[in-house]
Amino acid sequence: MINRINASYIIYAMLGIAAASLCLMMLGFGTGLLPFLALQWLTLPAVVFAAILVLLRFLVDRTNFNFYLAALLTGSVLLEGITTVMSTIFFQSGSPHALFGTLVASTSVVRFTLTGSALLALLTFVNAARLRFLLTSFRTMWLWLLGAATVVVALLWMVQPGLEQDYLKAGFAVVEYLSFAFIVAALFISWDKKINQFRDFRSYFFAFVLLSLAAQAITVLSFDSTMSLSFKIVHLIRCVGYLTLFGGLLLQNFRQLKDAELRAQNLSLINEEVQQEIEERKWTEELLRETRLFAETIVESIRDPLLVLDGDLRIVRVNRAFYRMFKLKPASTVNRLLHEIGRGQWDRPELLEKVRRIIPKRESFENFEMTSVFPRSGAKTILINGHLINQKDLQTKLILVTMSDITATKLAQEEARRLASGVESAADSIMMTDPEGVVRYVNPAMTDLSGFSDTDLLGQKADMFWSEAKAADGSNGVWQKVQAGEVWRGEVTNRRKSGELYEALLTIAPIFDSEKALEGFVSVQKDVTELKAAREELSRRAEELAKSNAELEQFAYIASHDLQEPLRMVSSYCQLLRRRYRDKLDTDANEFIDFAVDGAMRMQKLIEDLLQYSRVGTHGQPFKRTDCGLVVNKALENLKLSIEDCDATVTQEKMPVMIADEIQLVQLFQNLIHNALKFRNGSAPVIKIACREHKKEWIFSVRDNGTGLDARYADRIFVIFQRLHNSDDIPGTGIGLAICKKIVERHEGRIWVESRPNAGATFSFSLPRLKEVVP
Amino acid sequence: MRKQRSRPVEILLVEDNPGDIRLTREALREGKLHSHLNVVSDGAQALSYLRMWQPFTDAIRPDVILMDLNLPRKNGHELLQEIKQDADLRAIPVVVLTTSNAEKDISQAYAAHANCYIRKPVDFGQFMDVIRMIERFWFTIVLLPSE
Repeated sequence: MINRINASYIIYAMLGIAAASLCLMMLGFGTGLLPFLALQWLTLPAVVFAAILVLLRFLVDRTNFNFYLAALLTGSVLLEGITTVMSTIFFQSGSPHALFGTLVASTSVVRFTLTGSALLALLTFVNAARLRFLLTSFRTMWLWLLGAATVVVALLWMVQPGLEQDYLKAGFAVVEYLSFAFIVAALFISWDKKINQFRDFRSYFFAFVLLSLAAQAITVLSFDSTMSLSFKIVHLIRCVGYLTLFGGLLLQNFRQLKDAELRAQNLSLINEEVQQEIEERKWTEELLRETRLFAETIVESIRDPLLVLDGDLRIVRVNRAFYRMFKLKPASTVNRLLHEIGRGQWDRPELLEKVRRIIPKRESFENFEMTSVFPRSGAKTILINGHLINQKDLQTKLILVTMSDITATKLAQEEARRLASGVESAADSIMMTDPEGVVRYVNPAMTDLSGFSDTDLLGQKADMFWSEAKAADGSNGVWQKVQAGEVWRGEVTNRRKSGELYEALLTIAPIFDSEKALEGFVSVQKDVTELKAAREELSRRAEELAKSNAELEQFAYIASHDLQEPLRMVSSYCQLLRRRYRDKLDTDANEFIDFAVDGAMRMQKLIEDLLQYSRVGTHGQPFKRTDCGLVVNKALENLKLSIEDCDATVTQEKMPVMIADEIQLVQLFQNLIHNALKFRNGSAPVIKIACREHKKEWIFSVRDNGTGLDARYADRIFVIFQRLHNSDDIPGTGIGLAICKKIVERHEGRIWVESRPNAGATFSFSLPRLKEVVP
Repeated sequence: MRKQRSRPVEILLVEDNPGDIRLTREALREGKLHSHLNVVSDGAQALSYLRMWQPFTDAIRPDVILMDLNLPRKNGHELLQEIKQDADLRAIPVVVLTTSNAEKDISQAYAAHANCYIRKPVDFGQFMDVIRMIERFWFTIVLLPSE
């Protein structure tokens, strides 16, 4: 029931009482004191009742307490107001009564006190923050005005001339009423629409109650004999009523205080705990954050790519290195399945199987090697490790996949392997030593060469190969040079295990590590004993040959030259004999002399030819720029008479310019053309001199329509003194073509003939175009 | 035409080969000119002869010198050089008559002021012709300084 006690009921009840009092007062007009007293008596219980209701309400529900207080106050002020008005009317109707006088006076005091309490309430506003608020707020501005008006009206009332004491008291009653009105005003002022509650009204009300109590107490304490009993009772009850109200408020305040204190205590305890907890949590969080940051930094800054996968092999976390290495974007990686990312490079059944086993079997794997071609990063060989990530408090299990790119290492290994295999199977003997010359490696060719086995060599000083002579002198120079970081190259005489010496072409080069520090030496040697011997033999033979050739030519020259002298004597004296004694000798003697002369002449011719032949090699001119056209012309000029004699036709093509011995070329052409004239058929010779390019050569040819020759003899005709005809038919010693061949060979060319008997012959010779010059 | 000489033409032949000496002598004998052939067999002797040193104190200054190049002791080239450097002897015409047809010999002889260079023909007939031509050229066509 108490729950239903509503502020409106209280107000309605009070209004009802007020209305009843008014009616009674109207009825009592003219009848004197009774109605007024009745009102007085009725007001009190109404106020007390309302106060009790408010307290009860407060005990049940502490919310909205301020509202009930306000309702109570409104009712009280209304009643008090009516009482005051009526008192004033009584005084003015001119029936002063001692009782009323006292009553009004005491009431006035009470109401005055209320005004004071209102002022006091105002004072609660007065503190730094409030003052500024009051000064600036319009809402409180008219409160000030109202307060000020109240004081002005009260003062005006009090200074009214001739104002009687009672009127003065009645004036106080008006002022008291105004102060009530002020409280009501304060009531409305303190209503805060935003929160639908009064603010600070409790302070006002507390002050109001305290002062009303004080006023009633003063009244009660100032009781004297002149005062009626009823008056005394009214004020006692009033006093008790205010006391009750005050006590209730005090109690409530105290309880609230105590509650608050307790709450505060609890709160501070809780607060402390919370604080502690917060601290702890903060610390944990900090630790967590730091740990996380630590882990994060490691994960992100680690050079090797990392992946974190869940049980479905879905990618949960990727580090930067992964993106960098495989040129992937987070959008196309995170939340994708492992075998989906990239272009399926990760879709390797063995790899996926290994990763899948990690969670259910709690198996890790390490160093799974995989080579794939990755877009934009090329072929890579990576080593992959997979581990279970232990998360005790979490149900989800994760897989950490780490990888490292070993492409470069792999390539280097391959390269090293290839190199090693090259070194191992090299034909040259290779040995590597450390900087002190201690053997660290030898290849099979080295053991073959030296006769020392691996175990003889490895770990030993490399000076075992040095022959005594080298150990005595040269090796130090070599050693110093390679120690200085230079490459040494040269021929040395080394010693085999058997003690046998061998010639080696040796290269010793220093090996530097990546820090440019001397790591050792590599020596490559090649057994050149045989090569050297062969080379020496070759050069010795070439020398011998040259010497022999020179001697031969010199011999041929000198021989033919010196042979001429006695021959000349033979032939000359034979001729002289014939000349002087032809008539004195018989026919036989003359014939013998003729044979002797003829033989001597032939011998003379042979010697001359031989001399000419030998001069091709020994008396050649230096090669110089030679116009072959002019050469042919000169040859033709020299043969002019012969050509005219046999009525020959000679045609020539355009000839190149080249570097050659001009005199010899003239002789060459001359001999060939002369041959063509000499071996003519019955008809007039037709000779064609031609030249064509063939690969790197010029090929010259002299073609005739003469007797030709059997191809069987094609080679023989170029040999000195080889003839196909006897000297009776066609004169000559058979030197011409031999000289041609020698001239052509001196020019590094070839000479040959194409012919058939009675079908003419084509003599051709080639000269290298290297000797050609641009005209 | 030139005046008829009162004395035989003096020819100095410098030649070591007796066969050649004889051939030359024979050739000159067949010639029309009355000549006197004096023979020395080497360069040193030739110089002694020309300078009338021992044993050639009564030697007659030759009108022309025929010389081979291939000589013992002092060879033809040296002899030629000394003759042509000697102011007294250089006026005597020197005919080089040799078997060599080496370019080097020819150019060297002319460089040393040889008056002509003739290769000894192998054929005797031709040799005869050459000697006759020398005779004719130097003693009938060419005018030589008088003594």
